[in-house]
Amino acid sequence: MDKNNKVIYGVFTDPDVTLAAVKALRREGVRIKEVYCPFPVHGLDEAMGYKPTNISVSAFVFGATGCSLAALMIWYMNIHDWPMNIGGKPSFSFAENFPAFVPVLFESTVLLAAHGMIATFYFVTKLFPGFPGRNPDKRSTDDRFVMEIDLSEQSLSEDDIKRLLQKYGASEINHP
Amino acid sequence: METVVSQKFVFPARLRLLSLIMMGVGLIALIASFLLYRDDSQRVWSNLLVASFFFTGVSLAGTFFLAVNIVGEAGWYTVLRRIPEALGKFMPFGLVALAVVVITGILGIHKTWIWMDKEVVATDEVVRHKSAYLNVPFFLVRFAAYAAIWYGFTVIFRRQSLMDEQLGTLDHYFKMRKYAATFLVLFAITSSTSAWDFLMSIDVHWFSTLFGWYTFAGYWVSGVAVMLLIVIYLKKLGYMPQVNLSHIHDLAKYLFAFSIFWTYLYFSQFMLYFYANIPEEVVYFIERYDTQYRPLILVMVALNFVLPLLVLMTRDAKRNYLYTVTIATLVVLGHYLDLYQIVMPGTVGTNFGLGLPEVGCFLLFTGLFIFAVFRGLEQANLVPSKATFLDESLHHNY
Repeated sequence: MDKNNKVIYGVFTDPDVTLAAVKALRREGVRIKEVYCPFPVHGLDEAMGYKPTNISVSAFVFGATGCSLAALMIWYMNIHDWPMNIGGKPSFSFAENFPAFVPVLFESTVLLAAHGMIATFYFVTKLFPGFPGRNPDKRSTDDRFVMEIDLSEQSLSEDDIKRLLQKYGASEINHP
Repeated sequence: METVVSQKFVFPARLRLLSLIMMGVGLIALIASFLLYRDDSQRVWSNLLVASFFFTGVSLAGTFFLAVNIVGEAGWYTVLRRIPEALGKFMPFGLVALAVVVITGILGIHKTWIWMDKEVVATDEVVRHKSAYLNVPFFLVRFAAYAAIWYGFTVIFRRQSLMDEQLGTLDHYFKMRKYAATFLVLFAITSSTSAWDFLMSIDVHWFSTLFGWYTFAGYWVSGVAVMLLIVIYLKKLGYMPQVNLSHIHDLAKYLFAFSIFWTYLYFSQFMLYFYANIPEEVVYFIERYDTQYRPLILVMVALNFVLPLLVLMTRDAKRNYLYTVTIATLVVLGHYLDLYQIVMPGTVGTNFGLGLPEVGCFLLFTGLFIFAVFRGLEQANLVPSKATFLDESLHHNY
């Protein structure tokens, strides 16, 4: 965090109060930098004005990769390198034995899509295991909801923002 | 708990007329097809079996939906609760129609279930070995048990739900939970055995352990699609303003997920026989894939799997009336077609087509279904005010 940037933290104890406060503060013209929560709060991303995620694109790309790799593997193993007699149908053709390969294709599609999505998510958010935690208040991993407000980008004064935080149910207001 | 302005539903005159016309045209077509096929009426009876089983299944799906949500302590569906309850209003008609098909089968008027014929049992060794289970008296006992269990619990859920609305206490909710858990256990057994009895025993030499689930998945997903269609229809008429897009989204998720579930079961059943390639087992699929049924199967898989998968995948599509209504309609037709290809090859061979019996049975039962269900919706408040979990349902937001 840049030392010149002064930030304050509004700490809340209830997810519904937090959600209502986010909506109210944004309506009053306060720019909220981030909200740290112990668990996902439904509707918070919408209230914060985030764009819908497009992580599904990475799911498709990784899924398609998994499916193609599995097809290549099966073709090489069971058709090309060591032709397999599947259920008494020694046609040695990929297309004619396709039903037998569907489970493998499906599983590797899911495997790569799921792991690829998680890796993409870690990469984009820089949340790889071993990285130090970036939440300002450790209690936001337990039972507190911490709203981070960067004062350098506000049109309202610090006192006004503090008053608003109090008005909308913050249990405490902290400085780093 | 906040109170909700409850609305009484009035059966729109146009829909009532439409359902009556469908019933009338269907009945005339059915009688005409009995006259037309008086030398060999098997095709008409097979169609009657398809239609009566399908719509009984859809109505049963409503009861199952209630039971699952009660046992799961779900709250979101409370605002929609009257719709699965109303689906159950068709069940007596469906069970009577099934009973007609079964009794005429026992009397030998049609040969849908050849194991009912004593000569077949005497000459066919495979059927003889199965006769400890597949015999007429035991079949009738099972049929009576299905009717009692399915309709009994449908009535119980409806009655408890109405009392729950009046009192606004938890008493009936807890009672309902016990009933729902009991129903689920009984349904787990009867859904499988009923599929064997009515459908799988048509191809009496063949058997599949997945068949019960596969059949159940078919009518369950059709039931969800029908519920979705009814909700959106009611909303278009201006009823149920409490139902928001999140409820529609959840129903569409059910439709999407269970379309894939159905495909999973259908494919799993097929793949094992394909892999093993044992003649007496694969003949069931040869009868369907290598005959005139092939285009029918391709259309059915496209409607039941490919379209819901591709169209309903995104969040926006699940929240869009046009997409969900289109897919729900096609899925209902697709699963009707699925049942058609289960019943037909074993009863009429390739002697099928789109003719009077098909159109007549479909129209008659659709008309009757619409009439019974919308009459059922008229009989209670559309949104159960004071019901347990109503508040949670009103604030359902995903």
